[in-house]
Amino acid sequence: MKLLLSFVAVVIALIPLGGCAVVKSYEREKLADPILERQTQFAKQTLEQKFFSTREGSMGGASGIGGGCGCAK
Amino acid sequence: MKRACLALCCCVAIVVFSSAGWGFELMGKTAPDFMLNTIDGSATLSLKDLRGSVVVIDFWASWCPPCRRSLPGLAALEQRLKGLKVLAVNIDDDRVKGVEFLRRNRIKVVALYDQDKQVVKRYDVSAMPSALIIDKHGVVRFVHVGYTESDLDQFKKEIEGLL
Repeated sequence: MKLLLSFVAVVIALIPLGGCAVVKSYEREKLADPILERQTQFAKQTLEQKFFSTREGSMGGASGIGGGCGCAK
Repeated sequence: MKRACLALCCCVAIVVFSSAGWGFELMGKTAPDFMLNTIDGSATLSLKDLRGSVVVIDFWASWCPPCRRSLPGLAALEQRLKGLKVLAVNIDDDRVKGVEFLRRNRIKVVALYDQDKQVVKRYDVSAMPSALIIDKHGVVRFVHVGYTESDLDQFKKEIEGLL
């Protein structure tokens, strides 16, 4: 009985592995999106840079986006 | 317990080293031929057409940061070394991204577009970027995975030895 339970436990533990898939290096375009980077503040930082460059009417130094009018290029 | 640890270490080593040896099976063999359209769609080019030149095949994508650094370096090398041809095989899902990157950075290399990723699959590229140096007879002489700025000297040395 103990052996059977152990077997069932192992099988249950292995089930989630069925969902794993190897993604080839050349198929990682979507995974390479900066939003998926470990740096979790990416979106916030981008917005802050945009606001900064709009307010100051200049950009650079922090690779800000947009121009003085706040338009997206 | 000792045996289990040893078995675990062996498994980890197999997983780690199985991906580290890309290209060694290609070394010393004729590079598989392919025919691709240029990224702007203006022409078609086959690897065979370049027999007689030393060729660097660089697999790259605009979404891959080290690829974005390696390509300008290889383009500069092509300008400096007569008899060298760089084939930049792009694997972006959308070719416009690749075209845009080349235009923005004013990179002038022969850029091909691997639309269905058939070539990159055929070469079984394990990491991006990956590059091969092929001699004048079409034989693979050097393979390289990844890119740091110091790699360019190694490329130069290898290529000069084949020219």
